Amino acid sequence: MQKAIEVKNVTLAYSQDCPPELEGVNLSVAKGEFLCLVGPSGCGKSTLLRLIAGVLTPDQGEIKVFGDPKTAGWSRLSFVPQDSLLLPWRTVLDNLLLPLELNDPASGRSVWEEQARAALHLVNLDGVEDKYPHQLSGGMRQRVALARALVGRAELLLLDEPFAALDAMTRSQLHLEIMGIRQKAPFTGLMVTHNIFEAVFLADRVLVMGEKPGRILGEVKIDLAYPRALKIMSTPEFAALVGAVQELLEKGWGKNHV
Amino acid sequence: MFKDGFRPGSAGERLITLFGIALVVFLIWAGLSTLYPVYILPSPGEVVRRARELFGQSGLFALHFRTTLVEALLGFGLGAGVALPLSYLLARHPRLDRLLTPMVVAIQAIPIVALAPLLVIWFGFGLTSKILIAALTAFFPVLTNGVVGLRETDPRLKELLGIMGAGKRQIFFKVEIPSALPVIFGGLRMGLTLSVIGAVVGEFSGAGQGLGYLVYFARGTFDTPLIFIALLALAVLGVGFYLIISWLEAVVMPWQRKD
Repeated sequence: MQKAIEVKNVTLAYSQDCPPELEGVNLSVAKGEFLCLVGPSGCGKSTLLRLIAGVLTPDQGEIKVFGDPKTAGWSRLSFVPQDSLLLPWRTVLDNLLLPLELNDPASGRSVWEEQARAALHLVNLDGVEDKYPHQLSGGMRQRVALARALVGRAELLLLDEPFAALDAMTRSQLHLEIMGIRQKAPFTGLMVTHNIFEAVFLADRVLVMGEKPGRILGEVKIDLAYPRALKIMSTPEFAALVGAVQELLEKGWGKNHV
Repeated sequence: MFKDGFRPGSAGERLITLFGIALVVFLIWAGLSTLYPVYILPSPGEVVRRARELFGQSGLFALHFRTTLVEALLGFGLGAGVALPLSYLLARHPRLDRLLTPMVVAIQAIPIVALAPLLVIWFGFGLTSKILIAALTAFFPVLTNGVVGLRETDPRLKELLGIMGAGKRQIFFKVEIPSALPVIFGGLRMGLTLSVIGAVVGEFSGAGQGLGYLVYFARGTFDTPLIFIALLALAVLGVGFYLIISWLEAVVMPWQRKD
């Protein structure tokens, strides 16, 4: 199976004095897979995401996205930030057109609009095309950010704690939304999160990271059947998987804290 | 406290408040004017009489009004026209900023009232010196707001557009400019209002026409009603400019409108 992301032995240090931000990180994500990265704050989860997005360059090691070492560019890879980062001066529809304007200038507005409306429909947000971001709730803004990442031909979504700022109910709704979208329009996902339950609920695999230096401690394979419903969280299988992730996290802490 | 249909802060309430204040000021003026001679405080009737006389001389008031209007507008155009591109350069190149900003601040620190006579000596009693003085007054707020606005773009937005594959030019037009617009407009609003002051200062320093000249001339002849008329005309000019900029703002930045 073709790899969507390959990270080989990546190290990154911001300065000589501090321990490296990331040390010897290896990971690979298969096409169509959904992977969650959990770890304490400051372990370099977001840095890893930004390396893959092509915003940062590693000191050592190699990063390939769909076999290609050059990673920036919306056409196949897209980014969902924590606080939506919609352009406040653009309507919802115009925000969704942005990646198309940049990557598909040949098609023209009518084609773009069709694709944007399809993406809005995918996240269950029909009818807000002409609203400005400040007129939407936090959950709706995050849905728009998700739609913006899905619009056009994006095949790989990098999600940087996309639901961290939302209340628990809205977060659960969006978890189901992600579940639904993966059924309707499969994509590859790499999501950074603090929330172990979120990670186990959404992912095919959960990677656990440790801090100082940031590194991968291990992984837990989540073999729960799809589509998953929220009530799955109360089953013993789910609890066991959460436990396995927590055990890895604890092991990482033990080294520095005990 | 408020009856139905009379919400605090509504347009109706604001209009009534404004009207009330104007009425009180008018009554105090009318009352006080009975205590003083015309050349110190003319009565409203005296001012109206003088206005009739002035408007009777065809085209005279219009000439003075138009002169100040043109000086202020051209001065603002020149000042903003230089300040905006320069603010882009200063925001983009910190080195240039460190080199030029102290000089700009030094020029700004010289009171324009003190600089104006020099410019009149250099450029004459006509339009040119007034435009330059108005341009100098309008220049600084437009420049500083431009620099601040362009510099304060959310770096996360720029990074996100970079990930989307945008080049520097696209980031400039799609993110930096729109995000700076509210601050830039704040500078334009201030600059346009200040350009009226600049034009009047220029006329004080030597001119043959304009509303500032009218005040200067009226002072010499103790024609206090005429001063009142010129001041009122200047206020109308300033408020007019303010309204035009506000309207432009609403047109250019529809997302800023309250809903």
